[in-house]
Amino acid sequence: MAHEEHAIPQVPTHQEIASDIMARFQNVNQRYWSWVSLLALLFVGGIVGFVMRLSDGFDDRSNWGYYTATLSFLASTFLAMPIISAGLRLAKANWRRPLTRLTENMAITGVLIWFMLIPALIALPPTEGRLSVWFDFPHWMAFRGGNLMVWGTVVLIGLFLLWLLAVPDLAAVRDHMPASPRGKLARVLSVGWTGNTRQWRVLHSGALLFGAFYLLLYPTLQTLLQADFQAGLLPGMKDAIAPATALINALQGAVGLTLVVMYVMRRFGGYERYFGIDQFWALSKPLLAFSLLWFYFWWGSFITFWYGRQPGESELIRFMVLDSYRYPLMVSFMLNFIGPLVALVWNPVRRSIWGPTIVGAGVLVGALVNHIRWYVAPFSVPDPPAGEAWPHVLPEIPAGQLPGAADALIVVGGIAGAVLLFMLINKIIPVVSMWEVGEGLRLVKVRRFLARYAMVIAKSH
Amino acid sequence: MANTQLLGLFEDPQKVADAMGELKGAGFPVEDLDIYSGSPFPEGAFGEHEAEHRLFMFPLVGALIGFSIGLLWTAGTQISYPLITGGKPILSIPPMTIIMYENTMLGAILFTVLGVLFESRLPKRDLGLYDERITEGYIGIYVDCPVERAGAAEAVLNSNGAEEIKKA
Amino acid sequence: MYYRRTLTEAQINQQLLGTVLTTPLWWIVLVSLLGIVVAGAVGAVGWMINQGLGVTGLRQPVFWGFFITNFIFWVGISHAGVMISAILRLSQAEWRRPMVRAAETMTVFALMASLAMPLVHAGRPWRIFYWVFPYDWARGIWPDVRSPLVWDPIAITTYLTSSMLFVYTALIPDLAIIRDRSTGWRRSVYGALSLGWHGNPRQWKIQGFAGILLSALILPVFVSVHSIVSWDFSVSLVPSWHVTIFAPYFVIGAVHSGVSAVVTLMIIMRKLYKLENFIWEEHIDALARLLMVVALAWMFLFWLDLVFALWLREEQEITVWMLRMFEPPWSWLFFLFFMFSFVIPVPLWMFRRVRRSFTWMLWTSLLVNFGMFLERFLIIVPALMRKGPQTFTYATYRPSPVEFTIIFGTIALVCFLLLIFSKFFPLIPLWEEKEGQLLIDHVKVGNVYVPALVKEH
Repeated sequence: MAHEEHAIPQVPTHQEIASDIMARFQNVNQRYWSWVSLLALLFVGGIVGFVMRLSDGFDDRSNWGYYTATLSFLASTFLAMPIISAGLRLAKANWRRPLTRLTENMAITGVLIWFMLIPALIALPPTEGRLSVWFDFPHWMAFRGGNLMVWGTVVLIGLFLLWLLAVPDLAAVRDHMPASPRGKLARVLSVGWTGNTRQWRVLHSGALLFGAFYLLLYPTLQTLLQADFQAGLLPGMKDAIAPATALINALQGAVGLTLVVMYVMRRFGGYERYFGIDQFWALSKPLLAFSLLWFYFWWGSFITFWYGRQPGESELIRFMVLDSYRYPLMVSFMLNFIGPLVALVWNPVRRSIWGPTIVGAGVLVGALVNHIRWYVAPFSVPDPPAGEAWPHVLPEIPAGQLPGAADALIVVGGIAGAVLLFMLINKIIPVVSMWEVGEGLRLVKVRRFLARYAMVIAKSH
Repeated sequence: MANTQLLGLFEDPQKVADAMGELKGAGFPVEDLDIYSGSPFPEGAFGEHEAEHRLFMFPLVGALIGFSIGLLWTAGTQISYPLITGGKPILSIPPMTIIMYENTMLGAILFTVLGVLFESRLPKRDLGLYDERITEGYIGIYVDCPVERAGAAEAVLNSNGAEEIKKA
Repeated sequence: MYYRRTLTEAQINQQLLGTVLTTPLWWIVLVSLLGIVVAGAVGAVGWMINQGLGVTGLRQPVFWGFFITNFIFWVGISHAGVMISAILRLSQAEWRRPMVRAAETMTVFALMASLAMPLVHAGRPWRIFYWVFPYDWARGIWPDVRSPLVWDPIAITTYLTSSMLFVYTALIPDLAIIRDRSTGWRRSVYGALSLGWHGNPRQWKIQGFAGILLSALILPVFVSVHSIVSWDFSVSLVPSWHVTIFAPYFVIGAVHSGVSAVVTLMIIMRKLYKLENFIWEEHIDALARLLMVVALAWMFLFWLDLVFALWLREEQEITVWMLRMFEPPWSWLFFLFFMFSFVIPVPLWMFRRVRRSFTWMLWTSLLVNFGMFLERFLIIVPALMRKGPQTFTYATYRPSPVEFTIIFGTIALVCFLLLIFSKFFPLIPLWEEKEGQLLIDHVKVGNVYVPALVKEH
């Protein structure tokens, strides 16, 4: 009869979920160590590449283009991921619960990113004689001190958010594996959490507050990244939209990376029941939106330059769009805009595991190539002759710069280092939040609704 | 074999779901049963026939037509009157893109609305067997069946608490 | 939020069709008063056409003044409809239900008001025809698609057509409800307009998909319309206009003013039409939260616009900004704009008590729109002012009484059209409200009942 046509949705208990997540957390198998070793090897390769670049010094800035592109790629994907957690928590999206911890754990990569920032800042020329958002501030205080401080604050807020939201789960680890080193570490990190009403209230408020801080400060990081590492090195660059473009692209990258990591966790970590169709489907929608915005922001900049036709603008279009870096732009155009648009307009693709994952992986490749265009290009513009001010028009258009062996090692090693940190933190803090998933289960019930069954989902205040 | 139509009116949605289940159990094909309601219920709430549709094809066709018109218009006007303004070339793609985009979207939206009407099987001149109380909370079960089975259908509707049964 | 004031379908019909089926006295008085203001504005336009643009304050070199400001202002307001309706439909936000129809309708009328402005501004409105349509077949002269002034009518016509269809599609089930409640010629008219709607599962399913599909299609149009308006400015070389950020900056600014206008509209509607059972504190609270996010994004883009304007240290660019920010009377207007559209309302909205107060929200939302009108004015006029060759003073612009009359006329026109609409069609979608009632539930956690919704899966 009609009642049998729709299956009864099953809602697991909190205990089932907690014990399942804990079991996966405790299990550190051979495959995990193999991956960690491989990533560590690649990271060491990256350090070798870095040392090779270091041995050449900072005088030739074009040596540091790929390094900076790697830095900006990491800052615009891995470091953007806590925004997903903060935003979805503010929006009270119930489907967020299994994936928030994953995005928060990525905040650990901020440590690597902050240290990577230092050589990139050293490679920048002094602000004297050139345009800078720091205007007439002394350069040591301005872009160096300012960047270190802003990036450092973002990283610290991310780490604090990660720790704060992990405290209840760290307490669970403390109680489940008291004798192990991880349990002992959890004892320290869980700061005596008992889960009383006051603690939960502070945790909820703190999560919203620090999430909001992260959301408010991260755009500043992107503004500085664009202003100091790109616009300040490109004569004639007057592109106010660029920081907003970078921010939107970072959000696209963060969603893409979240999808890919969820897929990997499903496939290799046994987390199928947490990263299900609901999460992929829900994330595919912002991914499509950010892909459309990718084109919109690029176009907003392009059409203004194209119509302006002033010498500085025409030369920049030739450099960044039509000549030297047209292939990277085309790759990014396909992977960050056309591909997602063509694939994700279809509901069956959006409502699948594989669809958003493939698109997300493409978005990441496109983002990496676009970051290479964004930062390798300005780093290849030579300084003006000594004593002369920087021009307002590109004197000549540099050729596109291909990566050398050291650059390749740095790009691969940098990404491997970030993934390595993520894998390591996952064995200190469970990659799925037991308390947040558990809280969600209490807000769900299954009800007969006429001839079928339906889920009833509550939204707590 | 001649067919007749019945419309059973119910106040309680649960009774509608039960009556639908019983009608299907009594051998009335689900395609010949319909529900009329004043507000949307979740799909399958009454165990009714779940309609197939191709609404998503309409915007694609519309977009294609709109894009073609935009392309012909922008390219055609520039070729017809090849006046260079502001140093921009004849057949300037960036401004063409903007107009083609607007036309594409207009085509898509116009065709979507046409699609909505077509897939909703609207407009319909004659309301046929209908009751005004449906837009005030009543739910109607519409049965299209052979004349000799009308009695069986009426019995099912009555036994499940129909407030009134209208006949064509 | 959703577990109180459960109404039957008959009660919803009765309460929401009040002004459609009867005509209250206040409605007649208000429509008459607004009609007089609109007639005054039409008279002012006639006078201007008869006398020429000299009766306005437009003088060399400031040829864009109040009319173009008002054009952008109303395009901005029109963004509310799609912002609220499409985004909230796509995200399936439950609190959208009472506000989608009114917001969509305001979009349509605001667009009509905005579309009238360039016509009025042209001074000889019939000559607009030459810009938009091919006019000299014999010599093969066509409108120049490379001119952004041709993009505007195309974009706005697309948006207006789409918005009207969007409103109509979602109106069909409600038209059937009115059909079933009316008699005589009204029944015939509503019968024809409702196209024979029965409300069977197929029709409801398509109606649901239509809402999502049209929302998804109209969203990119809404973004493009204000972007194209912004490109009227930014593809020129006028200092302070030739900036890449104008497109998203205009769009976010439009959303800021548009959502504020929806707040104003909802509060006034609630009072006039006695909609206390449908528009609650929670709805205004949700809009205020949305406004805070929008306002912050808008401020980020404003800040980028300012910083990157000063970035190149070009004299002309800096001069315009200095004029805007530091030279009276522009500096006063700038101060008011900044206070009204951000500094006063946004911190106030951080307080739950303000967000849930209809009085506070009415005044803060009005402030925002006053501030946003000034913002558009300040973008346009100081950028066009030049120092005369021998005078060392700025050529300035002062709007004339004719312009003020026409501006007030457009405000009256939009209100007038909304009132006329409300006489024939419900401003709150009945079927959406009924669907909302159906999906209300709660989950018991311990001793607490938490409001919940039935989700289709």
